[in-house]
Amino acid sequence: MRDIDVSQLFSKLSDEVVEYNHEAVINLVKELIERRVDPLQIIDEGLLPGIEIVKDKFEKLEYFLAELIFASEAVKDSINLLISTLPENEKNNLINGKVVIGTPKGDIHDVGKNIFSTLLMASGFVVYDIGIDNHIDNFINKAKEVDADIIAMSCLMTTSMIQSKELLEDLVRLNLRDRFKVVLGGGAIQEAYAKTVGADGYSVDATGGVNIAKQLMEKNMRQ
Amino acid sequence: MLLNSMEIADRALNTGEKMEARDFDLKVYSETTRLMKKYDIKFDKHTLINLDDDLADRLYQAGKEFYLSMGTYTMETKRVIKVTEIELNEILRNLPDQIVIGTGKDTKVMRHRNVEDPALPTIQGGVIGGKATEEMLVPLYQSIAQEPFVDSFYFDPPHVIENRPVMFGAPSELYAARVSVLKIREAIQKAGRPGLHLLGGCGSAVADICTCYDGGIRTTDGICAHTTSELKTDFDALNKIMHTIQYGCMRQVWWAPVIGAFAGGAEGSAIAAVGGLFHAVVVGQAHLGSAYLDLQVTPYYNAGATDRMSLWILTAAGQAIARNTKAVLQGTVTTSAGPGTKLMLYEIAASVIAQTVSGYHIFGVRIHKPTKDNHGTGLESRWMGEITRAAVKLSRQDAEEIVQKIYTLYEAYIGKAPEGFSFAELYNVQTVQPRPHYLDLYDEVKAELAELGLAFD
Repeated sequence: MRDIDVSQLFSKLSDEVVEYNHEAVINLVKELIERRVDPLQIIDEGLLPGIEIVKDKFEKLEYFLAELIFASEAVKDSINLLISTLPENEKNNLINGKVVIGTPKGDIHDVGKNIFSTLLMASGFVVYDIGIDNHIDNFINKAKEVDADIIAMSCLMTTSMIQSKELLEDLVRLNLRDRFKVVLGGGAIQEAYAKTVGADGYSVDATGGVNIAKQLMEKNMRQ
Repeated sequence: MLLNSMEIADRALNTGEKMEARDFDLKVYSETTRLMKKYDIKFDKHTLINLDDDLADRLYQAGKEFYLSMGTYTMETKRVIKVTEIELNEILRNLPDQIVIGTGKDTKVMRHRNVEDPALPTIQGGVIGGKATEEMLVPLYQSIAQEPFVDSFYFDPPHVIENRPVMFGAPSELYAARVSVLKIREAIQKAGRPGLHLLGGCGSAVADICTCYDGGIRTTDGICAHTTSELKTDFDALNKIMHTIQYGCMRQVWWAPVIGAFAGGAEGSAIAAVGGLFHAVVVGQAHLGSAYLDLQVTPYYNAGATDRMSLWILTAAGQAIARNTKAVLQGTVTTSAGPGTKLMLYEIAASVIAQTVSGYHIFGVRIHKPTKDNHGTGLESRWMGEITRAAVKLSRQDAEEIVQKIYTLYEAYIGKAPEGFSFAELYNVQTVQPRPHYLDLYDEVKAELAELGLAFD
C-alpha cells in the first residue's frame, strides 16, 4: 500500500514539475522526505521524469524559456532541499557537477547563456551564473571559490571569443588547468577554434552543451 | 517637449527605477502573456504572411502597451528607462517618413513603406556574421557594391588583422576598424559607386566611432547601434547613438526578438517585435531624422528567420508598424542555409517577398549560424534586388500563395541546412565575378520561381 502511495506521489511530482508548479513540487518533495524515501529515488523517479518532459516540450517549441526556468527552479530547489537532509559526506552524490558560466568582456548577449544554464540546472548541475561582460578573472575566481568542475564561456561576438584563449592560457599559467574543464559555446565560436585554444568541450547549442558537460563529468568520475 | 539624448541618458544613468535583469526578463514573459490574451493575438500556423489587418492593428496596440509597461533596461546600471505615453506619442509624431542616404549620384531615399506598397524597398546588402578576412575585404565588398540593385551595404572588420586576433575594445579592434573602412572605401571606388551609403558594424563603440571621419564613415554613411533582447540597452549602444547624433551621421538601430525566449512563442514574440520598435525609437532617438530601424526576428532554435513562426512574426509585426506609424523600417533576411546553395536562395526569396508586401526595406543576408569566414557574396544581394522587383507587384494574398510554394522547397531542411561555400569558392576573386556554376544555380532557381508565379522583370 505504502509503495503504491509513493509511486503515485512520484507520478504526481513529475506532473507538477511539468506544470512548473513550484509550491506543489516542494510540498511533494517534503512529503516524500517525511516518508523517508531515498533522495536519489525522489530525483530519479519523480523530478527527472518531469523535467525530461519539460525539456522535450522545450525542444518541440511547446514550452519556452520562461516555462523551462520555472520548472528547472522547482527541480533545483527540490534538490537543494534533499541535499540539506543528507550528511555532509553524501551531499555531493545528488549533483552532477558544478558549472561556472558567463559571457566574456564585451559580450552582452545573455539569451543563449540563460538557456544553457537553465538546461544545466534541469539536468542536476549546480550552476553559478556570473552574468555578462566578464573579465576572465571573474570566471577563474568564481570557479576557485565554489570548487567548480566546469567553466563554461558563452560567446556571440567574434571579437570577444579571443578571451576564451586568454582564459585557457591563464588556467595553465596559474596551474589550474587540471582542476577545471572548459566548455565553449555560442554563435561566434566554431569547433575548430575551440580545439585550437585547447577547450575540453564545444557545442553550438545549449542541448549539446549539456551533453558535453555530462560527458566531461563522467570522464572526471573515471579519472 | 521631445525627449533628448541627455534626458534618455539621465534616465539610464541616474533616475530610472532599479531592477534586477532576471526580474525584467520574467516581466517580459508575464506582460506578453497578459497582452496576447487582452488583444486576442493568435498565430495561424497555416499562414506564412499575415493577411489580417485587424490583427496587425491589435498587435500594434499590444506592442505599445508592452513597451509602456516595460521600458528599456540599461544593463550596466540596472535602471529602466521609462517614457510616458505622451512622450512616446510625441516621438512617433516626429518620426521622419523618409531618410536620405549616400551622396552624389549614389544618393538614395528610404521612404516609409506601407503594406503592399508598390514603391521598391531599398536593398542594404552585406555579409552579416560570416566575416570577410583582411585579404578579401575589397573583392568581397566590391562584389556587393557593384550590384546595381544594391542601395547601400553593411560591413564589419575581420576578426584577425595582420595575423593577430582582434579583441573587443582593444587597440587591435580600432586598428581593424580603421583598416577595414579604408578598404571598404576602396571597394566602392572600384565598383564605381563612391557615394554609396555604408553601414559600419565595427564592434565596440570606440571602434565604430574611430571610423567616423571624412575618409571613413562620412555623415552620409552610418553605424549600427544594436539593442539587446528583449528591450535592453547598454553603454556601448547608447554611446554609439550619442556619437551619431553629435557627428551627424546615420544609424541603424536594430532589435532582435528571440523566439522561444522570454517572450515565449509566436504571439508573445510578435508583441515583443512590435514593442521593440518603441524601444528602438526612444533609445535610438529616431525622431531626429537620421535613424532607420531594423527588425531581426531571431529564433533561438536552429533555423533561419524563414521558418513558419518567424515569417508570420516578421510580417505581422511589419504590417502593424507600417499601418500605424511613419517609421522607416527595415527587416533582416536571416537564412539557415549558406551561400552557393539553392536552399539559401529559396529562403531569401521567401523572406524578401514576405517583407516587401509587409512594409519593409530589405537588409541582408545574415546567416543564422555562420561557419566560416567570407561566408557570402554579392550575388545574394543581387537576388534580394531581383526578388523585390517581382514582389512589389504582388498583393499579400498572391505573395502568400507563392511563399507557401517556395516554403515547401526548403521546409524539410530547416535545422539541417547545408553551410554553403565561401566567397572564393563562388567568385573569381581576381575578376570579382560569380563563378559559372553559381550563376547556373542562380538561373535555375530563378526559373523555378518564375514557374511558381513570380514575375521577374
